[in-house]
Amino acid sequence: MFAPYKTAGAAAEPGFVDDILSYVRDSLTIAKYSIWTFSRYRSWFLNLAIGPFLAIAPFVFLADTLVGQGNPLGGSYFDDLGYSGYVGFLVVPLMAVNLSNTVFSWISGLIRQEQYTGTLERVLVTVQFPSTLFIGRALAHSLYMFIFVAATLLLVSIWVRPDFNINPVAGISVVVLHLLAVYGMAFLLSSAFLRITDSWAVQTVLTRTLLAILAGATFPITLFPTWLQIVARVFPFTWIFDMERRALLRSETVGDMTLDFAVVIAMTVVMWAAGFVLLNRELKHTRRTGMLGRF
Amino acid sequence: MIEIAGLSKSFNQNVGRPSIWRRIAGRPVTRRVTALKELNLKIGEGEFFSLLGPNGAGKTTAIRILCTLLLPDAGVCRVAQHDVVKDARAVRRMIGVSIRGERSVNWKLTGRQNFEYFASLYGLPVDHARDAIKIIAEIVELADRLDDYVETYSMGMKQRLAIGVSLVHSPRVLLLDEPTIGLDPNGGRALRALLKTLVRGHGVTVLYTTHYMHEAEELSDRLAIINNGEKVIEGSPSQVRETLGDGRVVELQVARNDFDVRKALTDHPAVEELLSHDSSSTLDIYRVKTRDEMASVATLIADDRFSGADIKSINQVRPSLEDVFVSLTGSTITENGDVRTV
Repeated sequence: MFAPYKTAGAAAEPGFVDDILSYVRDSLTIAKYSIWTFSRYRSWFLNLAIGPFLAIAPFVFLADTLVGQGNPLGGSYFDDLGYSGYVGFLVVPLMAVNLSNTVFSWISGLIRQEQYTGTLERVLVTVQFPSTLFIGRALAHSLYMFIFVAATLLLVSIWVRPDFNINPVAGISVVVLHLLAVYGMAFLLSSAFLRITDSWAVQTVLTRTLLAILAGATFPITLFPTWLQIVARVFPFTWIFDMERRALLRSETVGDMTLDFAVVIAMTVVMWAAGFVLLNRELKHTRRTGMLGRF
Repeated sequence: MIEIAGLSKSFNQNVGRPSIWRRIAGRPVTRRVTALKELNLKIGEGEFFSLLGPNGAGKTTAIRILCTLLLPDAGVCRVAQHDVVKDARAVRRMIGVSIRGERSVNWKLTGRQNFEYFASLYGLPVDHARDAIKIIAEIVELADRLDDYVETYSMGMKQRLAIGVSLVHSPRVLLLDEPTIGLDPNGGRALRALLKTLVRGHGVTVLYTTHYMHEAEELSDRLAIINNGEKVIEGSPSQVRETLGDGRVVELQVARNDFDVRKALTDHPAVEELLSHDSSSTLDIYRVKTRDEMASVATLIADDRFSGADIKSINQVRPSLEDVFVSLTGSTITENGDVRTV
């Protein structure tokens, strides 16, 4: 039988292995209870499975009507780029943009929400490593991500039938890399959001401007002036969208995209490392200024 | 168990309504507010210690520093020899915290899930956690509602859950920030009974902040009154009360008429200070600290200055903590925790 106040509190200092186990345990715990909390919202399945499709559907429908396959207004241009029309070119990155949006909502948005409701402080005085809060959220999101991708692909296939020509190994590799990159970006944002009050605006700018336009989700960046193409190439998602199109629509192999993989892996590593550094810095800043509890 | 030495903390506080340009530039108009000024405290193991003071006195800041959510500007804070800045992880393992009361638990989960969530984060084995939850749920009187969603709980139940959750890993130190705010009288009583059990029965060290004087008096082994970030007095409740001197607090009940009792009292040479003035429907009740403890009641009654007053009763009374607070700060604390000049 548990005897209160006789068993805990006097435990030995944890060692390195204990720390690792504690890190994994806390991340999984946060993931588990994030899923339970999210599943309490009745609209979760609808939001996740159909919502993103409905968000991209008008673009795809419009594109299919105006510049779709065989349409003289734009079909030949995209055929020249190596894709069968605008729809195929558009569907994959638009899904990615929406996926990224849910990542930011799930991670950065929920962390901000916890800041509002008060549970963030409570969790931060409990966990041994604050970054587990983020990792746990990302793990929880990755489970829902499969529902999201499966549902959207199904609906898109039924409706507009993009001409997928998938290389499975390259496709899975790129999607995994994409997730790591987007979680890295979310980690950076989550950390920054501890300081930025109007975080929603930042997220919107990021997804609508940087992802949808600058990263070339809706049209090829070759249409940009040269200097803007260089700027766009600094952004990892420009590379990722390109790689996803090549793997999912043109069946290119990992070997065909070695340089792209190397660049994106390097950028992802930098984002994660920066996320950890920024989180510690921002937490220190909020602990100094009292901003964690100011909501 | 808890050691605070020379603890100081100040914040930038946004003031006024900055121009749109300042807002866009992210440069709000701020002023520096001192929350704590060289606070010194020592709290022994198994002691119930209250920090008593009005809103903005610095109580919550002290708790937040102790639970590693805030960094001090200066000074040292230790919990069981562990520095809260240099060894924050060890401190977090050792303490149970209830800050923000009912808002610190997840309302979308059940009571049991909240317990399990924090038990898991504290690394309790599953069977150990299950037993702990069972016992603590009984202690906080939530056993029969454990599988209901927290959003269906009353505020008192949420508060009790927040405290229960903070106990799940058997902490040696419990930091409670105004846990009875918003509770009805019954809820407050139940919570106080629970805290007494924890301290007397299990030897938990409790640091408790409140602006309710009666709570501090009922629960505390020792207490400190803080105001504007500074400790104004420290000791056991009786020691603190004794600072006013035995027999020097007099309470007058006066029927309301045109006579200015307040002025007569403050001008009276035997009266050192007016401690409080409350009103009922027909009576004004004044508490004063007199200069001379032996002759205080007689002096006041016999005085011609009160010939116009309809004094219903006049009694020497035991000084309360509120009397001490007024005497030391010149202000009183209202029901909602704000400061009001007497």
